[in-house]
Amino acid sequence: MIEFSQVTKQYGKVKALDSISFSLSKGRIIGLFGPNGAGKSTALKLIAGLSRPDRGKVEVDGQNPQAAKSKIAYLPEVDYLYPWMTIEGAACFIKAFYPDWDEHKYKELMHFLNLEPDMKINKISKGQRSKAKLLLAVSRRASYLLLDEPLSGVDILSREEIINTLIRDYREGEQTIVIATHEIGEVENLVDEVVFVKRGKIVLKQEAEVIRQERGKSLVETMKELMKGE
Amino acid sequence: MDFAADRPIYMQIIEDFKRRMIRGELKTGDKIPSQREYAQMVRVNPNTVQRAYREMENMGLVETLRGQGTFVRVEEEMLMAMKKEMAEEIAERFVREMKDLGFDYEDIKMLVEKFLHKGGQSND
Amino acid sequence: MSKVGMFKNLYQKEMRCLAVDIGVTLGIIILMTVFAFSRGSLGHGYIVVPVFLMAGLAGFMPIISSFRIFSGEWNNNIIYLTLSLPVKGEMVLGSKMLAILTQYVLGTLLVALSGILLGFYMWPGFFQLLKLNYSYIPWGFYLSLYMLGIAFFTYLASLSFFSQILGRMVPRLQNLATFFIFLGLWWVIKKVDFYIAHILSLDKIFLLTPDKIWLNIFSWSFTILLIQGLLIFAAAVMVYNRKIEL
Repeated sequence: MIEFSQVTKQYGKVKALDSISFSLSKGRIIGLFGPNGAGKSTALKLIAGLSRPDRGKVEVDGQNPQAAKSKIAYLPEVDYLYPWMTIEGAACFIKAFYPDWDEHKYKELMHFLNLEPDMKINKISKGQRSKAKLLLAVSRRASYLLLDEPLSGVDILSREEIINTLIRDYREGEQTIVIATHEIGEVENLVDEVVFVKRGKIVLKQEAEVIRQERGKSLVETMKELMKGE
Repeated sequence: MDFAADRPIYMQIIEDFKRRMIRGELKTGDKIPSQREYAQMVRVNPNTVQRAYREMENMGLVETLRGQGTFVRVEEEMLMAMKKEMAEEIAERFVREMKDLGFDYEDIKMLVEKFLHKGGQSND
Repeated sequence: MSKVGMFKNLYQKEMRCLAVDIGVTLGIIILMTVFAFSRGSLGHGYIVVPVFLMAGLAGFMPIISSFRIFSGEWNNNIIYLTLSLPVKGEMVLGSKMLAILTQYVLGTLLVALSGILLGFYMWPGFFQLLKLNYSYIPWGFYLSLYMLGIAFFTYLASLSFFSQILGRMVPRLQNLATFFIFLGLWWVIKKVDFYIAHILSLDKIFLLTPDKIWLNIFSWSFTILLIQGLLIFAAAVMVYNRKIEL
């Protein structure tokens, strides 16, 4: 379980998160939706232990995120791999740190995503880089998978492959996936629960099916309605 | 299969299976895809598919045999009931929409007759 | 997962990041050696000067690398990867320290080797001379000098790490801030050093055993530099663990 209690995070004069509290239960796929700059990435960085709250507390399974890093797979929006690394080299580097690395899954996914072990990070397309990042994150059997804009700037074919991968390898009940994005159309059918964020605050947290049932609206429409004036 | 984004997806999954059962595309004893296969096929959250399958089991439409998979198990009686239910839904929606367009009882009847006639011809 | 395995992995990664720096350092040293060989017949100056330049380079380049090893990580967003790994500052900074120490040792050893080679070249009787005077050569002195160099380098590198980490916490003009923090810390530590030396009255201790004055100065300087280096390194690790974030 991921729990935010009264969390505030400020960068300079901007309040990225403004005293927010919510909890995400285990074993679900959660959409963290909102426009750019709403605080989605900040929330993910806090869960992954890359940032610390100015006020309040973030906990992962009751632990400080700093101590929970080994059960979290975090996929930042930026390219965080060394340009000189090959995919295989990056995998070798990463797997030494995590007991949950699944070599079999890694090999199989590599093939499924049409990637090659000796592809160099700085010599492949943006779509391939995004797939490589996903490959490295998903090849671990991590309890928490945090994806920051996993589809941004990715071509349509790679987008499909990324979504298929997420569905294919999702472990129901044991894995929690948090997808932070402002392009929600493509992941609409993927999420159990949605948290809409606007200017560092939560405007709605609800089951996706309940939103469709009660509002008779798609998540995209709901987002448009909630974000009016942004 | 494309789902409407403004209605619960698990309901649409169930409807899709029901429709295929009514049409006879799926018969008792037929094996349906596993939850994961189906989730991948329609690109939907596996938890949502799980919910749809569970509800279909509760409704007595399908049966999961451990280690073998999920099979259609629908009785004639139930099929008829589903058929009737779906027909009523379609008719209700049709009448409602026609009324919204401003057609009255006679107009609707005439229109239906005309198309029944037409449909009869093309089917013969 | 073993800590040793993780550290080894981090160290290898840092060494790969330093590959260019190390290559350049060793390359220049080799080029200068070749130059000295080609001009050595013109006089001692053509050998002594290059050797001193090489030694300076071997000591100075790793200091530059100690700055590059950090900024490279931040500028390429690799910091996202590093910070998400389940390791603490002691491992991250420790592997960086070991990598630049490796660079330092490789460079200085190559300089020593090329100095010896040039010696043979200049004086055909060098080997003979060495053999005859073997017992008179103060090996201990040279070794102490080298160890002192390593201690001083560790101290400088720790200072460089610490000031960079503090510099990262400044919201703007981080490079400039790092530079001034480095100078400021340097100045403060020197003051503290003089104060400590004064309190312990080291000069008097040294004079008690005038025949061992060099050994005393070496061992005291070595110990003080090493302790200070480790303390600064520990401070850097502490700040890294508690304060560094994105």
